[in-house]
Amino acid sequence: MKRLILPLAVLVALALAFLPMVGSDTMVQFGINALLLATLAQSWNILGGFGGYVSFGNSVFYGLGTYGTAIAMTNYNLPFGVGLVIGVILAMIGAALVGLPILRLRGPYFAIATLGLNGAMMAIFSNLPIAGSNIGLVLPLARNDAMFYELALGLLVVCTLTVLWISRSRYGMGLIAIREDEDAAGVMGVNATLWKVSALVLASIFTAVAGGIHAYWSTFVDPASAFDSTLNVRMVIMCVFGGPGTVFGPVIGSFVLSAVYEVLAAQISTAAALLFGFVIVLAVVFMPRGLADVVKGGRAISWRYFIRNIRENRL
Amino acid sequence: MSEALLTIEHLNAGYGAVPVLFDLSLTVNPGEIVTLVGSNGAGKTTLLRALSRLIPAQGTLRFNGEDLLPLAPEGAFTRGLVQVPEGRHLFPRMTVEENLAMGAHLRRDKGVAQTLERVYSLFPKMKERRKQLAGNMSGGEQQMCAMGRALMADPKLLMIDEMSLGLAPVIVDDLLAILSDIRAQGIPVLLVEQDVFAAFSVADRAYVMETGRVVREGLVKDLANDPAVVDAYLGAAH
Repeated sequence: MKRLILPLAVLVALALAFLPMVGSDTMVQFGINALLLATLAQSWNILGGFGGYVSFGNSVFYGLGTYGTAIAMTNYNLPFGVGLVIGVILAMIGAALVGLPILRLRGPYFAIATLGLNGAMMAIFSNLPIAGSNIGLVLPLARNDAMFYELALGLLVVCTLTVLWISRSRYGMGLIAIREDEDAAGVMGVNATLWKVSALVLASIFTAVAGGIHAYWSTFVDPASAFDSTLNVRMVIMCVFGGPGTVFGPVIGSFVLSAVYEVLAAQISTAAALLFGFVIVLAVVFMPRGLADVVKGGRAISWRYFIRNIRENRL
Repeated sequence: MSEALLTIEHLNAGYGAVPVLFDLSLTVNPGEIVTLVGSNGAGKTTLLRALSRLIPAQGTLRFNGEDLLPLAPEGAFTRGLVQVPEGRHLFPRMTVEENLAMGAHLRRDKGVAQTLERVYSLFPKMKERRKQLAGNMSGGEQQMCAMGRALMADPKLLMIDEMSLGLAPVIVDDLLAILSDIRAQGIPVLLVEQDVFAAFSVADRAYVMETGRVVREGLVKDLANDPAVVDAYLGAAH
């Protein structure tokens, strides 16, 4: 089972690359959204899953990526690639500036401190003339969904490869040690501050690129959609649903949840959010360690696995 | 005698504006087990924190011929000054094997597998339990695992904080015997203890601390007969 996962992932990625040639427009558009969300969940996984720090500030880096790209392309007529780089640099600076003071807080205090970041950024960008203030910016139109799809897929692959490297490296071991017991990690020579801040900066890179791609694709950026804390909640849910601290869990989790949401939204529109919540409650009750843990069990998985989870968590 | 492995002279340290250690001097020579004893609040753990460079300090702090003061915590660690923290601080949801691997995670040399064999030969129980989650073991086993994890870092000096904390006397005896084995393998030990009787049974030299100062020092066999030490720490039964 374990040896099969990597080749299988490569095959799936290759198959996905051919989707724009065979799939419908709706399919490709759904794909772009799902791939970008998977990238967001996967980059949240770096600090949240491996380091154990639940951040609600990752959507800020998404917003910085969208605005970096949008400002560069509309105000300075720079090409898309340059815009992406500017967005990434903005996000990395933001991550380092935010991370150094806030990552001193642990557990729930860190989560609470990050909660305020979206509001602060929204207020700042609503008053920046260069960012179009409250109205936002309209980017040049590029009608090329296939290109956006391949870009999003490529980004997800690079992000997942980075997480794969983390899971096997000295660096990742340090992050896991911080998650399990930060004091013990310090005693074992892990420079916790450096590890945590670099994990946040690493996550901000992929998050910002995803934001930039989305901005160019949707051709419109405004403060409310760029710094949207519900987007961050979705990253957390998708990552935790799939299996935090695993390599493929967040990707599978986001694909499954994106599909579930799409089906629910198409069938019953308004009540979709409610049912979506119900699906997540079920997931937390029956598979608290995420989809990846279920898959790891392979054929041995039976109803007993789910019963055991209920018992262990005293529900 | 050649230069001591660890030399502390006129060390002052504390937390922020609160001084804890005053003009403290202590040495550890190669091949020694040195114990630092004293009651609650004497400053024993603070001294270890200063040695691990977790808190600022003034004075002389030399380890293996190098000045420790300008180093960051991971700098002291990679130079072989490794601590087993009070309360063990294992990674409870990781297996024994993974905990041991964490001890070696900053090492880049080829000897890690060899060290693991050595740790398993010192603690055969850890080899039996290597797939077990560290959090599910008894206190004594967890202490063994914590000591094994520190040894995996290939220390030049092993510092152990409150090794006997919360353990049954028979387990403490086992651990004390293992300390002698560790010394026999060429790794000196600085043992910080409240259980003076246990510490004196294995150490060569001892320092007695009270309110941030060293009040007595010397060979264990001399201190064990010192009336002041006997009265304060060893009780009338001794």
